[in-house]
Amino acid sequence: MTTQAASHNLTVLAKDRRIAFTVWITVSLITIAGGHFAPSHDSGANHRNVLVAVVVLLGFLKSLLIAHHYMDLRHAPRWLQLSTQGWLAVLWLTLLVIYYVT
Amino acid sequence: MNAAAPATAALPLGHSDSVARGRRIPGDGHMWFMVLGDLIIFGLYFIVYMINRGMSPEAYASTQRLLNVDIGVVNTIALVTSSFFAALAVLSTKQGAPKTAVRLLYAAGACGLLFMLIKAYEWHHMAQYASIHDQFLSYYYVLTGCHLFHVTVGLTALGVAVRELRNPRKQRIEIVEQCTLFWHMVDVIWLFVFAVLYLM
Repeated sequence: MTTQAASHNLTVLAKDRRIAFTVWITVSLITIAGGHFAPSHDSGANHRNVLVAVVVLLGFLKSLLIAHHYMDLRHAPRWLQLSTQGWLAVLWLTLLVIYYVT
Repeated sequence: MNAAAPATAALPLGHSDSVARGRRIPGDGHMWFMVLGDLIIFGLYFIVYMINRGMSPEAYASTQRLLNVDIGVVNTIALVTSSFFAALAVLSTKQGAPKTAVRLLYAAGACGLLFMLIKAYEWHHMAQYASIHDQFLSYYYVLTGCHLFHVTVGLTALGVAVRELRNPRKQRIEIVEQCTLFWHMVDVIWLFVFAVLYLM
């Protein structure tokens, strides 16, 4: 590996570390906010329905961030990205639909 | 490495795939088969739980109220932090710093153990409300129990990664990637458990 390539690698790895840190902070803050605004069983049905939709949306976002960056899906073949992210999307949406329908 | 290259092609320590960041399967195709399979099986558990919950929402809610959301939040942050350390360990391995990677994997494992301790406390707390007629608690113990089993398997996988890195003749990046991949999957599954049992 040439010195230039090694230097480029270190730069890319440093960038990856910053991204990993940003993902950690983002997911942690979303979790704290989600817990703080968790829908209460005593709140009105409409208010609760909106909050549950927010919970599902934030859960989907968190799982996408971990899959994309920590599981390194961003460098994976397209079929693997689509099958993993697609299943996550379908599952979160299904849970929300069941919540509303039942 | 291009898309046609074998998924399990070994990367020497210190090599970053960033030089030619073509598409490649992170870790190993077999591990991804297991990860996707686990995500689907757990997904079906969650769907069955939500359908049953919808049949008697008041009965479920009366026990769900007893769960402490703050404990769920702390547990989530413990696992996310663990995943963060595991992701950094992979980057350190790629950089050719196995000692740093091992320390990061120990930190990831410590967060996993913290998660188990908190879960044990919560199980003990919820046991006082246990009744065979309470469907929510049955689902709570089954879902968190299945997840906890995966946590122990994940901790074992992190141990395998540590063993790999401590052997100077091995130190294969793809082994470390596979082990941490499983650990991240445990984290993703917990995000669902946290949402359906604590928040929804």
